[in-house]
Amino acid sequence: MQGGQSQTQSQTNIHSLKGLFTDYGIDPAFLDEVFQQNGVPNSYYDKVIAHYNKMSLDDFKDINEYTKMSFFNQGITFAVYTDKENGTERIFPFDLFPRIIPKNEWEMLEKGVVQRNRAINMFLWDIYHDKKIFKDKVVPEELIASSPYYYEAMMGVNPVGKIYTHVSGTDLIKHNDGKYYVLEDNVRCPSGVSYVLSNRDAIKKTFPNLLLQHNVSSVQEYPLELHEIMKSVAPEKAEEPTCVVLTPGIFNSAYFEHAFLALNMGIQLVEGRDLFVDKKFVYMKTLYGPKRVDVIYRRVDDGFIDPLVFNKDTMLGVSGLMAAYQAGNVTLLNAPGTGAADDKAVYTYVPDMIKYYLSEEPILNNVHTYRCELDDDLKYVLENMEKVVVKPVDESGGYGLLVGSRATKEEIAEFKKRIVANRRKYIAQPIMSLSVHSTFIDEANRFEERHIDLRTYCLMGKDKSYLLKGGLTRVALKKGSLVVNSSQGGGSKDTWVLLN
Amino acid sequence: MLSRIANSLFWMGRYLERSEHLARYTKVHYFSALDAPQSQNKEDLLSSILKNAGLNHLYFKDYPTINEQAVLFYVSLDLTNPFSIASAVNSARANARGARDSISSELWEAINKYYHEVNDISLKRFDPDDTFDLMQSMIMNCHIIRGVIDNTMLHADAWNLISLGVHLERAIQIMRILMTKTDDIENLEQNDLETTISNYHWSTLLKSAESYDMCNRYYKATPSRDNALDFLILNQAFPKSIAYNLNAAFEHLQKITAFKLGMNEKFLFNVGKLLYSLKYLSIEEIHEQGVNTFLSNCLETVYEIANEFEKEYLKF
Repeated sequence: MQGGQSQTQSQTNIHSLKGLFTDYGIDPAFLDEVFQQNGVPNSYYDKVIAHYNKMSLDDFKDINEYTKMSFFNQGITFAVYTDKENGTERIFPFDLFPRIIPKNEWEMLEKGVVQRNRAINMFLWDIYHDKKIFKDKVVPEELIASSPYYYEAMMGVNPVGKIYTHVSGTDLIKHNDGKYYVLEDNVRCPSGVSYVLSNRDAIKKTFPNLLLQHNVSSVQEYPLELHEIMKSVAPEKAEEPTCVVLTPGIFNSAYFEHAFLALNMGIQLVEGRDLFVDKKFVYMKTLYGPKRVDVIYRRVDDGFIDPLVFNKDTMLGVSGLMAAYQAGNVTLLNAPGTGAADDKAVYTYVPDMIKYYLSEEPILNNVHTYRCELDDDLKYVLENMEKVVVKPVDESGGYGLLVGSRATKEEIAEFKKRIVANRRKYIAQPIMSLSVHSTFIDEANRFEERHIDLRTYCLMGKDKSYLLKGGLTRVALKKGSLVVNSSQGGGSKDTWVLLN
Repeated sequence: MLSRIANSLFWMGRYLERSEHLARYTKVHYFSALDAPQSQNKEDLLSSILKNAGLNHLYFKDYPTINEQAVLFYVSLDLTNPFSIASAVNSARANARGARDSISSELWEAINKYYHEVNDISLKRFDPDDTFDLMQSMIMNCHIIRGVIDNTMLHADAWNLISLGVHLERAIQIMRILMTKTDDIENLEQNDLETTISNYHWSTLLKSAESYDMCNRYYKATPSRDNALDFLILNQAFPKSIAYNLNAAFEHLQKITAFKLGMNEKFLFNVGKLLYSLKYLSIEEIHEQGVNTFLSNCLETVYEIANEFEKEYLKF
């Protein structure tokens, strides 16, 4: 698992590459998902390559422009917080070359992701009830007790069906050893699924024939499945449960997705100011008076859902929501306090949780993680800063991390200080060489290799679970970059899971 | 239907309609200035554009004199002017975005496209030579959007609210256009107005409301003052007339309020009252009151109705 940042290594041009791919460079340091080292594509990409090679570069660019425009007109955009007012909306860059996952690989992934999320869910129940896993000394209690997402208010609360993580977004990468590794367990309402559906739509419109030639798993049923999951965890007293999506509002970076999901599920999109709590029941303010709400898929972070319990200045939440939740009168997706399980330090214990709760061997690999709070690990990290990625345990979106191999001496020195000052806050991982995938690069006017990962979407309801067959393949568009987050210059690809 | 969403839909309808009327008034007046009878100068027409947009005072805070480029930019694309057409388009889109899950994707896309077209131009340097294309594209976008509203939305709450906004705003805009024009013409009459010039103005007025052809057809005569006023105020069958739009607004209001019993329905009563008074009114009677007095009374009543409705239904 050496650092694969071999930018100096020259890329080879290979004679077997043709058409649009004639000057495609293959870097031997990485695993290319499409082409083997000798320039021959993996067989499951044959038809796509053949299809693209029927086009001239200009044709391809026309189609590419047209697709971008269509995303823009549909308003499939996200907001970037650092931008000034005028530039707040951007298209999430979409690459027309789909990523293909063969059937056998997917079946393994599917089992592995579901296994992982079942264990995490049981872990959450345990830490908010009997705390057996601490008593049995499998996970140290201090680790959880020091997590900012471990809430006293959740102790003894019994979510319907014992489900905490109704929606989780496990991030996977493929290393150059050809194996998949879990990078993160995102169990605090992960985003991005609307892009999976929109990307598929875009590909359908652009290359209908291409899709027809492959037997690709459908992704369109996701909103329906999500709605079913919501209904399955409604409070028992609610006969015809009213489900809603709670959004922070149109200025949130993921607003498009919130609206998209509500629209496709046929349920109401609400903001905090549309709701109120009366006698521990939640109501929405409608044209014709108050209407009771039973299930809330909330896309507002824990800290902002109820000013009475969490951040008291929040304008995004609803006063009394937590009390209504504790009384079992409303279901929240995901449950508050799930963040205690997707903390990057807790991540290291997930394989142990799988063994402990399910008595199974973990199917998916964890990336080896150094916990800076442990003396030996800290020593290693401080001595090998250029070989690791340092991440704060409690942040998402690719913010606040340091990729050692690309940092300056000053940045490393600065980060060392930060780590020592707050050891619990940092973990470090070896620099994984994310696999690369052919991606059309506007500036270079050709296809080039770019690093990718895969976000999966797993739903869990009362007695059912569902994994979206596909997912969001995120691309780091900057040459050599490993950061795939949309907020940091990432793009995405349609992801095809083959049925045969 | 959430009260907040209802509010967004109502205002989306109003802003869309507003943008179209401002665009058309600007287009018609700017271009009629190019071949106007002699005594008509360009400055009068430019100031008429400002007056109709309600900007005749605000404009002079930023600019010392009437200047073609400045007036056109200020009225159409200036985003620092909250009453510009582009600002109306942005508000329409912001409202649509807030109510994204209550409207069809087709409607959202049509509005979003309109927004991007207008904002693309406002980012570039504005050239008065592009005025026609710009205004025409705004008008066409609005026509398309209304088509999408009527043909992709369920004709229930959301549609009723958008339509209510559209018709109330159209009644308001027609009143404003009529008031601006009668004002313009009265000013001219003091300067000894010839019939040709007067007729020229009534034609411009009708064109500003896309009513020129139908008015000629209806009266089988070229436009005169009485024809134009009668047509745009009292005609029951023409979709731009005040009477027609109040009638439509009344119907949408009835449907929206039908489910909420025991509320104070004062505004419903007021629309009905205004509506029926128009039904049995003649143009001669309007002249007795004075056209502008009559119109400003109407306008005040409609504003009051809109405010009452918002207070009762759209507060959140």
